[in-house]
Amino acid sequence: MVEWTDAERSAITGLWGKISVDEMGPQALARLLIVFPWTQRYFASFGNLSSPAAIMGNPKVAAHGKVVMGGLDRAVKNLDNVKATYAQLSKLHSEKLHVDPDNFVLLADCITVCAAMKFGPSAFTPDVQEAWQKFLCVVVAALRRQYH
Amino acid sequence: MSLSDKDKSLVKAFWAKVAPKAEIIGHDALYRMLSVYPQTKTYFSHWPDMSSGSAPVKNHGKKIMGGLAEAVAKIDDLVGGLLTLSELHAFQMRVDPANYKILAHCILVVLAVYFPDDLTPEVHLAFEKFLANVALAMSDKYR
Repeated sequence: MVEWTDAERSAITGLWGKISVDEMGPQALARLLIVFPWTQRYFASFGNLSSPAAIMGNPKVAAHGKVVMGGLDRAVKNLDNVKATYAQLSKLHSEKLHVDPDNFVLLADCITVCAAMKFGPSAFTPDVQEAWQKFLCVVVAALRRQYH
Repeated sequence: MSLSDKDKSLVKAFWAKVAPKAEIIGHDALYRMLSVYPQTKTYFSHWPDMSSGSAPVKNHGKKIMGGLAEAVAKIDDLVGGLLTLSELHAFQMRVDPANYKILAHCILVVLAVYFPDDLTPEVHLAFEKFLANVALAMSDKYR
């Protein structure tokens, strides 16, 4: 079981409370597809991903970004049981979507960069980054869990 | 994943913007690496003080940014340009090369907090590639 200190809980929920899923989801997913272009392999049906501008303007990318970020909301609301909360999602990514789990870390890094850009040095302090990184590691581990 | 001419010019232009804040960035990135990835502290066990604002962290942050500045200047031949640094880290300090990726991520996060308007997706891509190539050059002499 993951142990969260009160400071970590409040850093994570505090940050999440100020994040707009509809705003950051599309940004983070677009950055994933731009900065790590091999991740585009999972989105062949999304249409035009041929340039950063195309990716950032692509409505399917934006819509899916919201879905992915929305998934994180469940983790924030179930900090003491992310593994169980994500069991079905993990199976889905492994058995249906066949996503290489190394990609989860890449998306986590993009989300972190987006959060850093949004919150700046006074809010995204080293302590907050530490709690946020721990949270994302737990999320990634839970998503990897059902891979066989 | 080698650097295109466009990558190089984006890196140089971005570096010109961030260089004036190099000391703050270096200290902040190094401190974040030590706190968020505490296993990296093992390389600095000889430091009397690892806290935020401490002299060892400030000084070493400055050195790191100096190394990066050199890398930007020698962007056309990173392996050659960083040869001495690679040998130093390989044979004397014996830093596990996986840690370069960790520090690169922390540098990127600090650049994101201080330069959100400049870290466009294209610049993010170019700089991330640059840091990955620096990591490779730093690992070059290991074995």
